[in-house]
Amino acid sequence: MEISQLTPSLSKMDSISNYIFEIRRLLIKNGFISNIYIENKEFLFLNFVKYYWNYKPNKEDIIILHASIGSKLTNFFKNLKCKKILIYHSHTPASFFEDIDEEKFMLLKNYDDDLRSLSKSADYVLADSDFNKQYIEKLGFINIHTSPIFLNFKDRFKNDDSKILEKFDDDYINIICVGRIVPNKKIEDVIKVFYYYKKFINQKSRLFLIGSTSNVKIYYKNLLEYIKRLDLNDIYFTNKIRDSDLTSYYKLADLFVYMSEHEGIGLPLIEAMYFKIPIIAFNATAVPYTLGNSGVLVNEKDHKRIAELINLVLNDSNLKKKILDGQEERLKYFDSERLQERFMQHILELKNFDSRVIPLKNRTEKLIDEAEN
Amino acid sequence: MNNFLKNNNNEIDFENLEAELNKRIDKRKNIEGYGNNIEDIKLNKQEVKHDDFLNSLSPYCDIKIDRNISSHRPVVGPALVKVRKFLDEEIRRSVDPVIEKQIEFNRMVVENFKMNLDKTHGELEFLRKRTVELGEHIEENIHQTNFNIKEIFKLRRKIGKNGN
Repeated sequence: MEISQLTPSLSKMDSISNYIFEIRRLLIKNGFISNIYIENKEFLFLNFVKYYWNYKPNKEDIIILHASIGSKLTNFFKNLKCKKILIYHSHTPASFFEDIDEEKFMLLKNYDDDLRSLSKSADYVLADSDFNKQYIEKLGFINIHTSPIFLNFKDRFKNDDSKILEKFDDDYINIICVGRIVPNKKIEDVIKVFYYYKKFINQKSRLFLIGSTSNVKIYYKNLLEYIKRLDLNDIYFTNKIRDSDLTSYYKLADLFVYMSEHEGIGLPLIEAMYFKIPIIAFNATAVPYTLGNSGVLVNEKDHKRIAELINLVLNDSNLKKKILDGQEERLKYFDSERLQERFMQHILELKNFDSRVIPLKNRTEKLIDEAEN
Repeated sequence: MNNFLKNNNNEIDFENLEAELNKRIDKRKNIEGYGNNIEDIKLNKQEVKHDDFLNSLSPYCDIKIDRNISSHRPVVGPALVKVRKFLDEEIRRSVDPVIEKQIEFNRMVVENFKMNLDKTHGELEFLRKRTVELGEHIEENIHQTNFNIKEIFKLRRKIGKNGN
């Protein structure tokens, strides 16, 4: 039996791509045939990665669609005659791109409709956070299960780059923010916070902004101009980097600052927990779900206060310990083995279910009907 | 009651923490530049290649004419210049507000035009991609339909054979 995955693209250093590879490993471990079908040509050198039109399933096979951006796969998925799972990873609201990147704005503006059109095609729906679950519910999906992303941090972060570690091995305070350089991440707020921290609290500090700068190039250009106008130095954009480089930056980091205004899960927050870095984050969208009772959440973008908060957290060992203890506890929720087990339960439920008798998504309604009668 | 921080950890006294933050900010109040609000980022749009024509229009928004008043007459020249300058100023006093309004209007028209052109450009790009996608989708469907028809013929032949 084949349980395969459909995704518009795969790319290096991308959390969804890493997740897709993890799922495949898990499925194979459980005795299934598993391939990855894609729209773009990356990773085609791997024998299990194929163009999507090569996918010819049997009725009992299962296909998993990873939904995060509009693509041709939406219609392809709709027309498939096999059991279908949709995993919703969230998508950035179009408004963040309005008047910055009109093309992205249009692509994202229409994605809600694309998703809505899939609500009747998917037999099983998974969302990787409660926030995403609530969002997709509003679009008309039912019977959604929360199944957070599981990643193998141990393998991913086993190597570091000694050159990076040596280069920044000094008495500076290293503040880090990880994520693509795109408008919803509000990198300008991180820069503003750093401005107050560096200019008025601690000159011996630097900011690492780690993530791809090529998604919305004009935004990156605007940020560079902004830094120049503020006359700030010691800010480093790394662009896309290898896992070993990322490991090094995490090892160097004293504090993680996240001012994002839209996250479906906020995977870097979990990575920061893994590296035992205290987190200060803006309380928006999925961020409070991911942090739970850990990290420090700010309700307002009061940059001066956030800068003071950084100083307090770094210098009050008792406070820092409490934050790190909370993060360590929260990290257990994202334990890879536990989440893998949960994921396989969902797969097996769908595998053992005969969708020809009654579509799975209508099962709850049917049960309610039976109970009422 | 604190509002700045979310109370998400019972181990931390957020009220106290917030009070400490305020105290520290108060201490820094007198540092030069600390009280000034820093400017916001200027978010520019993605540059669109075909706005050269509109850029070339921009200088023409300003319709003011600055001309030099002079006279070549040796004796009455200076007096003539004075009278002309006086008249020019008088006329400008009443006409300039109208011209200023016209300049403002011209600028707004060009800006608006630019904005809409950018939007249209984005929409066109989007539609272009969608058209390609739809074309491919139609091709896929044709392919699938052909396949289905062949399968139906095969089945019909089978049924025919079995019937014989």
